[in-house]
Parts: sequence; structure tokens; C-alpha cells
Amino acid sequence: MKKIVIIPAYNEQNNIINVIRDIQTNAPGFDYVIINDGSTDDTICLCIENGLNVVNLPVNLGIGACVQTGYIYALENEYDVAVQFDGDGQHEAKYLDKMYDAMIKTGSDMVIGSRYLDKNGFQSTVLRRIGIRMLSELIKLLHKQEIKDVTSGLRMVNKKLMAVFGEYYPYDYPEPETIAFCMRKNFKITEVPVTMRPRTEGDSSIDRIQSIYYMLKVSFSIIIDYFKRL
Amino acid sequence: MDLLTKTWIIVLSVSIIIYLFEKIRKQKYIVKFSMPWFLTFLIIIILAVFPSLIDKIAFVLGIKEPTNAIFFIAIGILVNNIINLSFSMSESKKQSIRMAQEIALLKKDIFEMNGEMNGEIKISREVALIENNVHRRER
Repeated sequence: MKKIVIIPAYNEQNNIINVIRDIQTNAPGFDYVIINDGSTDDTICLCIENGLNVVNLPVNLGIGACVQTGYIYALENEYDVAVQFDGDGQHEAKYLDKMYDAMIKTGSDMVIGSRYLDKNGFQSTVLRRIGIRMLSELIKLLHKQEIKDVTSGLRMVNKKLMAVFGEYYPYDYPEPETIAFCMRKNFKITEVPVTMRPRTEGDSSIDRIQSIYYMLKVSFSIIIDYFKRL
Repeated sequence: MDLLTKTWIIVLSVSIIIYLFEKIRKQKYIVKFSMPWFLTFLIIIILAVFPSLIDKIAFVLGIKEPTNAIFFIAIGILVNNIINLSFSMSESKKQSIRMAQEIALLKKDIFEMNGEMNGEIKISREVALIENNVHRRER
């Protein structure tokens, strides 16, 4: 089984080397590819100087299209399993094997690394947790399956889903919508408890003022997605 | 509607039509996107030539003041044109994302092939650094 970690990176010069080192040490069975999403800092220089495997997008495309590039890369290079893994050091590579085991054991198409199953480690702010809970409830209401950590960017998919994502992947704030989309298409999704670190450098892609709009937009896209079944 | 107003409206509309036409002729404007605007100004000219049409339209729409009917129609046409624009924008956005992805992946392949041939990845490095500077300048 060829396995690959897809690392979307936008201005991650302070984290990217550590992330790669973490993967190489704690998940040696996995290859990796960095997708540099038109960073304005030294991310790409660092990647090249250190001989890291990087795809350099010519313009900034946003997280969805950036991750999708990774899936297309994984497909073209005939990987069987692909994991999305944040470039900011929030995710820990030691869980990758655990997620892979869960994928094989449960026969899932997608395995999500969830902060809220064991409630250990960094749990995010109260407001954000409320938001995540609301999105989780919305998905549960529409698709009858509960996923606790719908915004988790740590997710592993098999070849079948990779092909689907290569065709269509939501562009902005894609995580919750992708889950709804996969449930609608009857893919099997499993959650695995993981811990995450608080981000040490860089900002989350969503700031406070935008978060209400984020909630609206994501809820709206989940609902629209639901009606695509018609 | 007095003659002066009428003349003004027609002159303005005709000059805008000519302007758009020139843009297309010089290949700076795609016919597909110009059609809604041509139609818009054609309607304006027709209404200016036959103002009585406005009264009829107002009556049909159940609007008391013909002026309000004009506003209603004008806003309707503008909303239609702008919504169509945002459709086209979404389409272009989708296309440019696909292209950027393809370019990035192709470039990686090419650099790797070059690297294998020359035993070095120097070119890739230089090109990437240039691109990096371009990103910074664009900010």
C-alpha cells in the first residue's frame, strides 16, 4: 500500500520543516507532498533548500483547491491512501498509523482525526467549539450520522475518494461540506480520537470577525449539498 | 417626455453602443459578455422613441406611476446582468483553478525530468525563487 501525506502550506516558514521531520520520524511508512499555495514568505525557499517534495502553485488558490491539488498528485502517482495534514504543526504524525489501522479494520473510505472523542489536548476556543457542534448537529440532522470534529483538517481517504475529490472539492472552508458530501454519496466515514496541538505560529485561516460569516456559508453549503441528492 | 430629454437619452445610449462595438472590434471585449448590455441599451432607445410603451408596461405591471415602472424595469435588467456576470466569474474561477493546478503539477514533472537528466535541480530552485519574489511584489 502506497501512502502519502498531503500538506497544504500557506506562509508556514516557521512550521514546515518541523512538520516534515515529525512525519519522517513518527510515520515512516508515509510519503509526503507539500502543496505551497503561493506563500509570500520563505516557505518555498525552505522546501527547495532542504530538498523537500513540493508542488508549487503559481498563484494562491485557497485551502480547498490547494488540498485538491494534493489529491490529484496522489492519484497521478498511484497512491492507495492519502492523508490531509496541516502544515502549521497542529497535527501529530504519530496518529497516522492508528488512523490507517482504523481505515483497514472498519473498511472506511474516510477516517477523520477527531479532537472531541477523547477530549484530550487542545480543544479550541469555546465559541469555536459551539460553532463546530452546530455544524455537527446540522450534518447529523441531514445525514443521520454524527461526526464530532467536522472541521478537523486531519483526514485520511482511500483511492476511491481520492478520485472523487480530484473531480470535485469545495473551494473555501471545505472540511464540513466534504463530510456532508461523502455521506450523501454513501461513503463510510469513521472518527478516530487524536490530540492536536495549539498552533504555535501563524494564524488560523478563520479570524473572529469572519467566523459568523463562516458559519453561515458552511451551513448554507451543507444544505445546498443535501439538495444535490434530488 | 420632452424632445431634449429624448435626444439626450438616445444620444447617450447610441454612443455607449458604439463604444462597446468598438471594444469588440478591437478584440478587447467578448461578444458573449456584451450581449446583455447591447440589449439593455436597445430597450432604452425603444422606450425613449415610444414613451407611450412605458405607460402600457406600468399598467400591465399594476404600477401607478410610469416613472416607478421605469425604475423597476431598470433595476430588473441590471440585477439580471450582474447575476450573469457572477455566473461567468464562477466559471472563470473554476477554470483558472484547474489550470493553476495543472501547471503546478506539470512543472514539478518537468523539473524532476530535468533534474534526472542534469543530475541537479538548480533550475527548479531558481525558477521557484523568482516566482516567490513575484508573489511578494503582488502583495
